[in-house]
Amino acid sequence: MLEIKNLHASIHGTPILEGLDLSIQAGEVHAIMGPNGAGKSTLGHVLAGREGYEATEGSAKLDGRDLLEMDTAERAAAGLFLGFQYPVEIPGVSNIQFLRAAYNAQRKARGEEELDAMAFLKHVRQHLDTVGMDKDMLHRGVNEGFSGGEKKRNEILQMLVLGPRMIILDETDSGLDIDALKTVAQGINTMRGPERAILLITHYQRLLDYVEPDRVHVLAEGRISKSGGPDLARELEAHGYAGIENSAA
Amino acid sequence: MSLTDQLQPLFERLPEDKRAARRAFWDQLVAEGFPGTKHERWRFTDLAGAVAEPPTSPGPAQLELPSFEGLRRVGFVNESSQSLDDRERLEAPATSVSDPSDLVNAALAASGLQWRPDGDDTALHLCTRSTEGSVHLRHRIHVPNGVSAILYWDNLATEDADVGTQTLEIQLDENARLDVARNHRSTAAGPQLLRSEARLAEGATLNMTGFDAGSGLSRHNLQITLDAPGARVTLNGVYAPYGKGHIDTFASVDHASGETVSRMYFRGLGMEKGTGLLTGRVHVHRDAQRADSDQQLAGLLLSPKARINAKPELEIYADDVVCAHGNAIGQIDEDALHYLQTRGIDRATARALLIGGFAAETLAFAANEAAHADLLKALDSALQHADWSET
Repeated sequence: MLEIKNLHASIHGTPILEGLDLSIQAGEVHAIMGPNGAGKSTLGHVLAGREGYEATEGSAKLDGRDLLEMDTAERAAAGLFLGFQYPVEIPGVSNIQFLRAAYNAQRKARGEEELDAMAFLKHVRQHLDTVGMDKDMLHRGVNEGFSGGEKKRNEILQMLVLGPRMIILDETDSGLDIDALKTVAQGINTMRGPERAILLITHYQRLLDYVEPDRVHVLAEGRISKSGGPDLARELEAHGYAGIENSAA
Repeated sequence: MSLTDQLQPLFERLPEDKRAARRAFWDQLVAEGFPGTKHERWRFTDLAGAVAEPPTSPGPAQLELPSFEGLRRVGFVNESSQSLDDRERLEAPATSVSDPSDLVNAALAASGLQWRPDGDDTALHLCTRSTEGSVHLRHRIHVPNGVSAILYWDNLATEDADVGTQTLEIQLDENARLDVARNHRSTAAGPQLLRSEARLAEGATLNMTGFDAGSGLSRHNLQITLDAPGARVTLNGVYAPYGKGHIDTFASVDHASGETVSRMYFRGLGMEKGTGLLTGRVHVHRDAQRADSDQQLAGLLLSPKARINAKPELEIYADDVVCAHGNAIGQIDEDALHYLQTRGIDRATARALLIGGFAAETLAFAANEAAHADLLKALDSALQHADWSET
């Protein structure tokens, strides 16, 4: 589903990714782990098309379509979803207004009929319980005054509502208490299925205790330095990145 | 030719009795002249040359006007009234004029609304339209003790309108309350000069939420005086000039008594070559101890050629007061724009959502639901008028 080959990328001219290869098939859950500054978040932003993050070499394809040729909104309509490490607050734009605008924009881009306000509200409400969010939060400004945990739940709600095919979650587990972590994990597991793939970017094993990955990769110095099964995450937890890199060497 | 020379024919056209009653204001205007840009309060708006030719008389009296459920409508098309009870026709001249810029209206306005809300009559839609010629109206609202009322003032000046003035005088008696939503749009050739002045008695509350937009020149003077303890005013506004529009708001609150509260929340949207100006003046008098004032001004510059000036002016002569103010002018938050785009919303729609959200937060203070919806519609229309190709 997602095929990344020899991806090089820089931020405002500084090289960050230096030849990254990654292949994720439909139905799989992968995790990328790595030390601070390794380029994990950069990978998410390059794939999502953030301004200033420039792919200088290589390719990234989603379902055979060249992601790097599309603008950010087109990538979303093509089925890519990036869950932010630091979700942005948008006062004055209500959560429900935002969700509906996004949902209908994607449907329109795919040539599907837009949902009216009532039908859309019904669609959203079925996902609120999964993420443990009160319906009143739909009418507040996007992430406005939300706690760290609420912001992450809101990211998961967006994911559930939009139903993307390729999900990238950038440190969605950071800053969560144990209950919120379980709720977020439940939301992610709800999305597991043969028709989509998930890439978890994380520092820690703890999210992977609740969302069992099929593959785990270590990202260091801008490329995948080691890949393995779920045990690799536990190994990292026990020995740290330095230990793994030494053993790889 | 000076502004007064140009306005002379308008004064001469008034019926004899009305002209006589306004003669003193006219003479004062001729003697003093209209404030120029050397006058601090008119620094940013130069009316010299803004009135190109001697203005003509008001245009036709008929036009279809909008109406809103729950709001009784009173209309003025140019200077002709619609659905106006004789008791509600204000024909008496201004009683006094505290600001020289109000002299034009005091001298030329011969009609307007006079409303004293009470009983079942507490929600009004004042619909004013200037489509042709020079229109001058003066309105007076007096809310008696303990009465709460709602006013939606919906004012539109279109291309062929010449210089126009409208003054809204408000008097709130003890514990009275007035919620005003104000919607002003001007694409007029001539400057539109609005003035809202209010005096608040003990325990009275005035909430005004305004929207000013357009490609014309508009000036709005707000002069609020808090005369007694417990008086409270909140002024909210969004100004959105587009084209070569020039919208200048001078909001002034006088805390003439202690234990009074004022709030000012204004937001500006600078589009195309538009200029938005906001002066927020708070004057706390010497004896006005425990006055409480907060002023927050913000602006979004949405085009490289747009201009926004937001200027706080605090004059505080009492020592036991709370007077806060903040001022921030910026551009659209690129992080927020990117966030929306990652959810599939194209850049233009994302930008419109963010701008609309920024302004809508302030317009949400409008007390009446129908008026609020109409303000949002006007905002949307202003955003659609603007050409975004340079941004």
